[in-house]
Amino acid sequence: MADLKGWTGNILRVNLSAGSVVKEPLNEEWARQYVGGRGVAARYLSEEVDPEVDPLAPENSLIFATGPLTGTNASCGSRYMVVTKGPLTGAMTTSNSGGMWAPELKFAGYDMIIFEGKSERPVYLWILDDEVELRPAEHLWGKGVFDTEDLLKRETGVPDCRVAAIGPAGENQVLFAAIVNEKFRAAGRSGVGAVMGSKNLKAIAVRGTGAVEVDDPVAMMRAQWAMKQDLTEAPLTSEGLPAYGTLALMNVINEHGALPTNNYQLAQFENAEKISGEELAETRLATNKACFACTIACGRVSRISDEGVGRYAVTTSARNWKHATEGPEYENAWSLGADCGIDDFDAILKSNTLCNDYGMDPISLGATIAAAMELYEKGTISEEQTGLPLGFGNADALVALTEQTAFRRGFGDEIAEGSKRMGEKFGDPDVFMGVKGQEFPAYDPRAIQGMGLGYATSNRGACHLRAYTVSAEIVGIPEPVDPRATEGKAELAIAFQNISTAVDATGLCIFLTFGTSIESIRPILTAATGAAMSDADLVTAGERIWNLERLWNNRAGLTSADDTLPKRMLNEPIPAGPAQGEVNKLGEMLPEYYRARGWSEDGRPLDAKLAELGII
Amino acid sequence: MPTVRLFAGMREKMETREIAIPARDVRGLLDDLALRKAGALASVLFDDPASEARVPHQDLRVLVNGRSTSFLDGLDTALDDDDTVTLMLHGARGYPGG
Ligand code: SF4
Repeated sequence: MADLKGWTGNILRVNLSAGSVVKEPLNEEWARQYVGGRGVAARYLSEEVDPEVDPLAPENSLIFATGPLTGTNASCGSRYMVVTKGPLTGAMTTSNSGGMWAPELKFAGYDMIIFEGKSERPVYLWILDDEVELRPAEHLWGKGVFDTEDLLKRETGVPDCRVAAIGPAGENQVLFAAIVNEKFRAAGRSGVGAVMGSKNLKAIAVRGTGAVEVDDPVAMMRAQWAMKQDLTEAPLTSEGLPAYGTLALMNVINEHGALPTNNYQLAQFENAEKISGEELAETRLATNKACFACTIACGRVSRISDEGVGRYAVTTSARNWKHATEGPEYENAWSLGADCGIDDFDAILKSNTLCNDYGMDPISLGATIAAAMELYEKGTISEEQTGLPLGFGNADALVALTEQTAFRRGFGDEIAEGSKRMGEKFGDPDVFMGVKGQEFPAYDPRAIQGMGLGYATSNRGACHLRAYTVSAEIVGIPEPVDPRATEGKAELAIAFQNISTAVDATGLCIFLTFGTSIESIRPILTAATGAAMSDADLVTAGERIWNLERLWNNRAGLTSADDTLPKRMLNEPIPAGPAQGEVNKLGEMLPEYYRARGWSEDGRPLDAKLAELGII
Repeated sequence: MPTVRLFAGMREKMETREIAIPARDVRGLLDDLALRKAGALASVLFDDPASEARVPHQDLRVLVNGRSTSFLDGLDTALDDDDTVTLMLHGARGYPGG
């Protein structure tokens, strides 16, 4: 790609049915229009995949996409996005991961990989600069992510290669299977790992020895320095996230009475402190850890407590130093903890570690186990069916079901379908707490109205990262917005959606935006690519991507009826705590959201909007 | 006496998780705390601890019974004996995203 820097200009198209690998030029026009990663991949998927495709059929594509800032020296330029039709949701899914894998792909000379078809036998893709080939992976099939990575580093003879792999959950097409790189960084949500498993693709191991060329290195350094100053000056990105990770949120959200507990039956967890960031830092934290080029370092290297090792030992590498593991993120500690009524931190760490090894999304896993616990306590399902007592708070059951689910053994086979399908099967669909088939993350939308709108309208199903209105409604950035009010929430959710989408597309980590803004990010992008762009243009690109995803979802059969929340959120007031009596008032916000988006009353992007954005 | 609950950075600065403070409103409570730990704490409670104006620090969030004082009466929010006050330091700057 002659004109546009930041990109390598190459993509790999891998046809797994034919066993072929073709290097082709990146579509530069789309790269300009859709910025990168999530955007460009969405454009390719829109062009090449029938929205009505069965997500687990060979006709679905699986795209790994970096952004123009991935692998540059821009702080947090570590990300890639996996884009495909998600089996959990039936919607276009965009699942993001950091670590070192994506920069390595750029160093090898590739911006994206598109996997098509299905291999007859298990394979992995090996990339060492120009050497790209599909290799047999029968010997890896059935192995966890940890072993797969260790074995590939050994057998390729390139110990510093980076590996993204699926575990047994992806092989067994658990509907919320994840793709995990460097053992602990995951494209976690919507079942992207199941799509990879359906293609008989076990892993992608990559080593690159090149570099990412930027258009104006001096301007890039200046802009990056300015952004780094922002991150240093903001206590959250310079102190809070390094010290406590995202887990700092546990006590914060609990204090607001917005911490979903026991499958969203309650909104405060009496033992939140025992599974909080403060508790982790005091008792189990070894150190923090950063993704590539990150100056925040929110990652947790933690260990099982001495008392917990007997029951919940973990092994993540041959050396197994002090039973060290990584995580948990706030969302995972919540789903495996408060949502299941569990306050045993070692059990949560164990289950979270198994999720990384087996390749599963801990949010959907924990939330589905929580839904099963509710069914069990109601008497809808019995111990005869579950094979183990499944009341809220049973930490051993959590760990046992984590194992069973990855291998679809016992009751784990029901959990593997996610809580929507599980609830329907057992005649209680209202036990599902989520949107578009995907389980909620860790904020009760009855206590934080904007999050309800964000969940309902998220293109990939319930998600906190698509419109983190918590920033305004809880943190008070840029100014405090009342979490219980509905007024102005449509505009707020749209602003968050557009900007978050734009940041995703650059290849940067969304956590940057806790310390800096689009005004600091955009100059870095311009310096890297050389393409003239205003701050507003970048936000508009976010809007363009959002609309493209929505359009594709509409064609896949999703309608405004899918932009909704469970009955519990709409009709059952929070029973106790600071937000007692609140329900989510989605009906007051959604029509305004559609209007402000320039969509029809039934939630379809209007031609005028699509033309304005250059989509048609 | 209202109970003050502290987390993360505030907990580190106060070296305690919980403390009872005899105060009738949020302003009085912050003043009392600032006096108890004049150095590091005062500077995160108020923009300018030496100033009479008593402007709360931009990173400080005060909840009374789980509700932000931004949506109550700010520093004038009255306190009862059985109230719980939560003090948090957020320290985010970016907008919007996360
Ligand atoms: S902020 Fe955290 S998740 Fe984001 S790039 Fe840095 S270490 Fe990775």
